[in-house]
Amino acid sequence: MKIRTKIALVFTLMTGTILFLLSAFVYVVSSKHMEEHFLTRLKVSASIAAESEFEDETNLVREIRDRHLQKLRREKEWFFEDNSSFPREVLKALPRAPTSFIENLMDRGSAASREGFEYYTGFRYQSASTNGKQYFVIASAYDEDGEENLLFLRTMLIIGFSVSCVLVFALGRLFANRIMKPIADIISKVHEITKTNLSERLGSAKGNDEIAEMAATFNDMLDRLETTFELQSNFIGNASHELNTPLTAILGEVEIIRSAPRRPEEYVESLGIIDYEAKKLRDVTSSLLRLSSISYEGKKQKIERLQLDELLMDIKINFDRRMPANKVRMLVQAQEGNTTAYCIVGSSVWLELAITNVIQNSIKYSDNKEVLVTLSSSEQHCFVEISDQGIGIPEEDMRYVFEPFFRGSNTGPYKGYGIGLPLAARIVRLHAGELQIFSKPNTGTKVTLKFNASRDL
Amino acid sequence: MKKKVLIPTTFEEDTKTALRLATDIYQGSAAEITLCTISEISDSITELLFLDAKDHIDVSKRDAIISFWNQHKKAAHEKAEVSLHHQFGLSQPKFNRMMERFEPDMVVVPQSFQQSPEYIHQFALRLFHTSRYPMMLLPGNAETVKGIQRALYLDESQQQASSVAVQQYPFHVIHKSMVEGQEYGSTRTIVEKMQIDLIVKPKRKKGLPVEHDRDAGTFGLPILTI
Repeated sequence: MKIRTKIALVFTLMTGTILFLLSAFVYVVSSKHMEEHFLTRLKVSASIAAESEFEDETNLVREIRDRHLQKLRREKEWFFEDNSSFPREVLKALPRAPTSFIENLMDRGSAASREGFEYYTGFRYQSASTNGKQYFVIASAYDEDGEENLLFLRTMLIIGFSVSCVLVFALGRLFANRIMKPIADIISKVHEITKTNLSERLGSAKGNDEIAEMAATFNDMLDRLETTFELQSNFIGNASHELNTPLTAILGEVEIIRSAPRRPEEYVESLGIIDYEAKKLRDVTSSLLRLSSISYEGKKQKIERLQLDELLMDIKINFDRRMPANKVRMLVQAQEGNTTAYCIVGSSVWLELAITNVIQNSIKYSDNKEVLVTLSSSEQHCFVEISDQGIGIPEEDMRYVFEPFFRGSNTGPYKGYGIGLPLAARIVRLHAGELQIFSKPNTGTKVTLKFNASRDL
Repeated sequence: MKKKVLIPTTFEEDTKTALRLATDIYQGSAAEITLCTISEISDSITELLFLDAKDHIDVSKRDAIISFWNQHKKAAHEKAEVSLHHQFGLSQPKFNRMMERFEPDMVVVPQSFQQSPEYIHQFALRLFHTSRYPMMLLPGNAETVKGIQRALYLDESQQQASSVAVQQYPFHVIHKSMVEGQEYGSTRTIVEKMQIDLIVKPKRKKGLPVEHDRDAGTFGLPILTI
């Protein structure tokens, strides 16, 4: 069942229940009111009848009654002497009268009852004119008007209820259609968006209502999807290029060397080129393997408590050994008496790899200008900041820098595979940290690594 | 996320530097910059009925600044947007409401505003200083500051918590304790040798006006108080 039908049905059910209860209430109250009204009239009529029977010696009351008072439909009066034969005589005269009515009359001295629309009322009567004898006065009448009125009311209520339900369902359906229209629009629009037109967006994302919120959420999701699609296609393109280039060089070299007989030194030279290209290929594949192992085997590394300041010093020593001309300057914020300020939990091997990669990028893209590395801490975090005065990252490339094999549009003259930064970002993320990049083309780049300071394993 | 910058100004020439530095710090984030002018509220009732900011600012100077911004925006492909706001009269509650409305990530104060002889400008400066919003005070020679790459954090109280706030900026913040005791010696030497472009200081709780802060003021660099 569609949501719009469900909304209409629920709407109808709710309104129908309320209407039914209201109709029942009106019917019951009206019925009760008519009953009381008719019984009052019957009692008055019975009282007048008793008076004319026992007190009216001149027949004046009877005459006035007959001439001026309206008689009820099938109105009859009976007068019984109060003795032991009273119940028998009543049942004989009024065979349809309820027995509870007779019992109540005898016990309490007055009673009223009804059987359908046939009403009964009675009371014990005694006066000076009856010479001390007690009588029971019983009157009965048929409430034809009440029956007609109630029948009419019931018919009207049933018709009103049915028409209202149909009307409410129709209105509910209309209302549901109006509510669901933006959703239906979103659904049809989303159906239209395929991988070939992922840049399309939903237009109903403006406003403050829930529909706009949902459309905005869809748009966000489409943004992410579009970026992922773009990144995936970039990755495949870049990876194919990086793997293909050395392979093409190797195959070309083999083809050239085999095309004619060569001297031994030419074979050696050619093998050297093949060796160089093969090592390049190995570098690329091993970088890829490392990247994938960090992505999927995060729990296999040894997790330990480590001091970030010591790790940075180790990295600096390694750089000085491998690249003696480096201009890496490391500065650590003093922490008076706090020996655990730079203590974090993680894998020292990976963190060394991550920080080394970022510093290496800074050295490379700044043509070995000064690279500043600082370590500072707050109560809950440690910050490693690495800044250079290099070529920077163009703004349009910033969203892709964490994608494997992606290289900025201004990195042409620099050798690299585009794996260092994505690798560092994944390592930092595995350590529940954050890697943030601020960059300005031709001015420099600042990379901030934020780690949670933890003193316990 | 859009960054918001408030520049209290008298539309002097150094407002251009303030605009340039603001866009430089928040480049790429489509910052919302508000140029805020402040004037005393009139004592005359009839004048109060016809309040118009144009009567309280130098319109030609304002137009010159706007024209500069439009040219700069076009030339540098800036994403930032500039808007104008004029504040009539100032008190602590009015100031609080104004700041709640703008919620600036930074207040950049040109030197012409800092040195304005008008009482209301001095009062505003004092309120900016005691507020919780980061405030950058530009020096007289601010036009020579091409961009901010490195900042020196001068924090005598060694407050650790302050270093969290400075990570959000695109420039590299060097805490003074990182270089103390090394070959640099005095703060001036550190500024020169480390090519510092900005001095960062924590806000003082007592809210002393910045002109009393001679140590930082003598370097001729912008001062950012956070």
